[in-house]
Amino acid sequence: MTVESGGLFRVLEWAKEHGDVSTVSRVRVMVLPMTVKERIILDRVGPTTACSAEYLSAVRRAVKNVVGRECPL
Amino acid sequence: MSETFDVSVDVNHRRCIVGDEPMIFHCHHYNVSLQRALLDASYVDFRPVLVGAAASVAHAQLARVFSQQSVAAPRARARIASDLYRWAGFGTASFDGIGAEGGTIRTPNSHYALGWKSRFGASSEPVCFFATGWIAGAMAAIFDRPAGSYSVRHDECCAAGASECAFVVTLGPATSESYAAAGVGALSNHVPRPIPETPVDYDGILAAVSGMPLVGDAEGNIPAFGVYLTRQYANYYNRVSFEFLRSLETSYGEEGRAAAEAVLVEAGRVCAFNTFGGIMTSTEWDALIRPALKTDEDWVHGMVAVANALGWGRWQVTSVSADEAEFVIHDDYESVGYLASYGRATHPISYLARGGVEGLMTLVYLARIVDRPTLDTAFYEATFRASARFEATSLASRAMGDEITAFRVSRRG
Repeated sequence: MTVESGGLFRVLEWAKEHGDVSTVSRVRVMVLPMTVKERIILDRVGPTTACSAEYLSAVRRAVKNVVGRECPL
Repeated sequence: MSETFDVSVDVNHRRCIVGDEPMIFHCHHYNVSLQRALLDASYVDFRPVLVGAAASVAHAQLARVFSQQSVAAPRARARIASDLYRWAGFGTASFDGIGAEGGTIRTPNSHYALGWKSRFGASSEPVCFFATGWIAGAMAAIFDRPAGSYSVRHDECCAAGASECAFVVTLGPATSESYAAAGVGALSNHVPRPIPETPVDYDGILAAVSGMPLVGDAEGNIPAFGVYLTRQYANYYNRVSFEFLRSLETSYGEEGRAAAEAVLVEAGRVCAFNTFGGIMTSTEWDALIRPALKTDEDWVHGMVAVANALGWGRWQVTSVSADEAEFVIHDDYESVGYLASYGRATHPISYLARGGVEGLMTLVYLARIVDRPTLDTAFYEATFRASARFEATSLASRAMGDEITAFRVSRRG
């Protein structure tokens, strides 16, 4: 099921700001199977990119794992 | 102290070889960053790859060393194995009390545990996959058994809060992967390319750095240039990197390849920043190299001269300015290893080299290494988050059949 667009973009932007320079690359590896299933290219995510709630949850978990705290957005 | 094994140097190809295995310098930052990159892909269990790659190189190397030196007694073999492990900076591992049926090796000194804690802090799980595999491979070589004859459990690890790392060795089939030895690989009969005029004494620096006593101390550490160095197996790095790449590419196509490449190149940048940066701010650099350096370009030449002593192949910088440089690498270890194990590549695979040349240009022209900044995590973040950056594009790849591996590194922003 597709959720509203923009959520994925906001989470990734938060991760870039609060993580280190390798954060997004690491998240990309962590969620790769679902990324391919969703047909998303993670380094081309924009404000209008839509994804499933399941995928957004997986990205949030990966971001928490890498950054060390939950994304509040 | 002289070694109990032969260390040969192939100056023309910039190789250091022990028991037919090329050994190369890398720091703890690179070692643990590369390992973490594989573990991040938790949907594939890369632990058997990390363990198996180590077991394979250790078995191939030690079996060769024992044969070269005609050493047959297990006790004498065990001493050589322990000496080599310590010499290479992996820590300490004593086989005293271990028999052909197995036993337990305990040590407070393990490079990956030390490196992991130093870079990332405590780990939630044991991290010494390399040591686990290396011990399994060494045991098989010591007791004249085929590779894969021993399994090793590593449940206690200094990185995960234990006071010592423990490795429980059991005679019985290994659960890790097993790989054929790649050996030294096919090296080229190359002629160095012309380089710009520079006051840097390439041959003098190579001789001086190669002559430095960069070997493990009593605890099996090589603390130098602000990092813990290891003389790791080129074939270990290659195996774990390329198995990671191939697995993600096979299962997830272009996106899998891009995801793997990004973290492999990032590990190379981390390596350059810490090891090259540490070298360029060291007392040895100040004494030996810095007096001759007049320009920023000389700093690039100086570091390239040192890189030739790391076992990574013959590095050259054939043009360099504040905006752009071209690097030529003859017999880069990634390409040579790829060709030996997998055949010709369909795309460039020299990720460490790519991250390395990007990192070097960044250090000299953006991070202003000449001003001796503190090379910590905060500085790394500030440097690599900046809008200005250096980006490498591949000009040639030996792994793809070209004569050399070459990059153009250009400033963006």
